[in-house]
Amino acid sequence: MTEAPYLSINGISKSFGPMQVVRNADIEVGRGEFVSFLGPSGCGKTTILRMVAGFETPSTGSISIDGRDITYLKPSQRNIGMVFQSYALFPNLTVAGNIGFGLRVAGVNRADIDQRVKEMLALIGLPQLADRFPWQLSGGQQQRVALARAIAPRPSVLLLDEPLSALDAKIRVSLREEIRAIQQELGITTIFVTHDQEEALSMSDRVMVMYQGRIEQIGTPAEIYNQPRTSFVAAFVGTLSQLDATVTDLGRGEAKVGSAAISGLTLPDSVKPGDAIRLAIRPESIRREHRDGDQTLEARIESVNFLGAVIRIKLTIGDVALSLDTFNDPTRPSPVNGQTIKVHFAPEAVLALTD
Amino acid sequence: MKRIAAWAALAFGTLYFLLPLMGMTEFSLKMRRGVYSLDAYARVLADPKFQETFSYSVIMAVFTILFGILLVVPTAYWVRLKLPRARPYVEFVTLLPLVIPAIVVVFGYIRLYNTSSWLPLTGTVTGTNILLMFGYATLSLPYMYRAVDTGLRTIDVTTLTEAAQSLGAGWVTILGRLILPNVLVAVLSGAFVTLAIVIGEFTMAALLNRPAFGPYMQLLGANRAYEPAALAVIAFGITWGCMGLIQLVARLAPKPAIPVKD
Ligand SMILES: Nc1ncnc2c1ncn2[C@@H]1O[C@H](COP(=O)(O)OP(=O)(O)OP(=O)(O)O)[C@@H](O)[C@H]1O
Ligand SMILES: [Mg+2]
Repeated sequence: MTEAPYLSINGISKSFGPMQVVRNADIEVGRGEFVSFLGPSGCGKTTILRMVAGFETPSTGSISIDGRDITYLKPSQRNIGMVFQSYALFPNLTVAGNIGFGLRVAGVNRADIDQRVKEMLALIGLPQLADRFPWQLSGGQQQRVALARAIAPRPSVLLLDEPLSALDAKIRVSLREEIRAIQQELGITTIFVTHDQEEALSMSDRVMVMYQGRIEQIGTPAEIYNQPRTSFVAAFVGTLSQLDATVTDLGRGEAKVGSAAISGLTLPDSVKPGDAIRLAIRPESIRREHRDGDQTLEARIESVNFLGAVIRIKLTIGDVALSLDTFNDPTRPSPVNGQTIKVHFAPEAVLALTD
Repeated sequence: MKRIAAWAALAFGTLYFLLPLMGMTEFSLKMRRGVYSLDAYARVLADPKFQETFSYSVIMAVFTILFGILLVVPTAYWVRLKLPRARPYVEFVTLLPLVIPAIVVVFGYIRLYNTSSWLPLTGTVTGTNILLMFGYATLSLPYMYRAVDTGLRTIDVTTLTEAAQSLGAGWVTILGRLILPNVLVAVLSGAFVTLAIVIGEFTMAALLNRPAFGPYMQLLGANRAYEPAALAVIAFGITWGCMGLIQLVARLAPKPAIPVKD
């Protein structure tokens, strides 16, 4: 980030009784940026979001928006838009009433509210539903209205806590594209909590991966996927096969898997010859065809999974299982269980992990 | 065989409730010798004392209901939102009026608020009315609290509150514009029960010496023959009217918009 961060979360921790659920988290979000919090259930994503929204107070650390410290402000004074997993529309108000609620509370006059509500309804593509009540809407429509309600008062930051997880798969995909489009159109600074990596990777400018209350890595989706900095990130994001190896030669970047040597690896600075490391590789990086510079291992086919365009083959190398994705090619014989094949991969695609 | 037993039980129950009622109604119609007439009703309705005491009780009921709403809705809401673990205890407290006799409560009031006490409420008519309203509110508390608490269960209080807060709403707005409208049906059913209780209440009104409907019924019952029966039928009609209204309102209730969870 070149300019000063818009939302900055400085060293916040949160404990509930003896249990520390957020540990010393530092996050900076630029103006108009879309950042996802990704992590397994219970890792503390919601807790950080709720501290930004003001529903929880950090045990230590501070939060500021546009240079203003908001750590101890009441939720109602923060001008933050929030979208909940359960939609949380007000059952006694119509769609228009829900969307206009924040403006009404702020004392905006009727005409301006009506105008803004119309704008919002057009934005979410539901102009004909203004007078419906929440119980007359589908889940997807309710969540759209909840989004419109959150952004109608022009909040400084928009927070979404797993807004799509209560919806079914098809709507989930279309709505996430819609949310991203609206976010970009309005240029609104957004934090999006999810435990769905596809969601996080496809929507975000940057992704923050959390585990057990700690931030594991913050980076662009490509960085997170291609250069995971910890073995947790490597394993959590995408599918990853891991092979145990022993470092043999630092200069050539060589390590041994069983009796086979693999060279050209990027080894961490901290390792010495003889150290045990783990080599991690993604299914799509393993090929059956050989290309220049490829390293080769021999593997046995354990099972073949026909996914349509892609065939996913489960292999074993020694006693380690890994998988390989290959495009379905009707002109070639399909792989057979029990067969021994040669697999190839570029050494640059291998991640050497020490922890 | 089981079916027959069930029907028999139902028939017995119906007779048990209906026979006295029918007897009373029949008796109330016999004021004129030899024919059925509504004379007793006409007499009762024309009695200025009836009109006075009845309107007094209705007004007291209205104030009691308003006071009850102001007391119970925020309390039940707060308990659900912030003190969910205290719920059983609060519920227990609200049930106490069912086990403490009204006469104990009213003697307590008189001791605490008599003319020589620190807050001499019984010294003035308004003060006594207020005291009586507190008493009525206490009597209706178990029903009011239960009704409102049940109403709150149909909405996700915590999330709705947080949604409103993030939109800039304060407590008054949240209670007035969101919580109350969403539990209105429940509040109304509590209100009708309160009305029925206040209309028929005797002990408190008599001991505080207020011109309420309950003591009037009692007085009439001690001195006349046909009119009390007519009055009882009227009072019964009012109570059942309230019950009917509860049913009606509950049927017209809007559906909850969010999955109910507890
Ligand atoms: N109010 C609370 N009191 C006590 N513990 C809490 C409270 N809120 C959250 N926790 C605990 O803090 C931890 C982190 O919770 P959090 O809700 O932030 O997880 P999450 O990452 O959002 O998980 P999920 O994906 O399941 O929503 C959990 O172990 C949870 O049990
Ligand atoms: Mg969560």
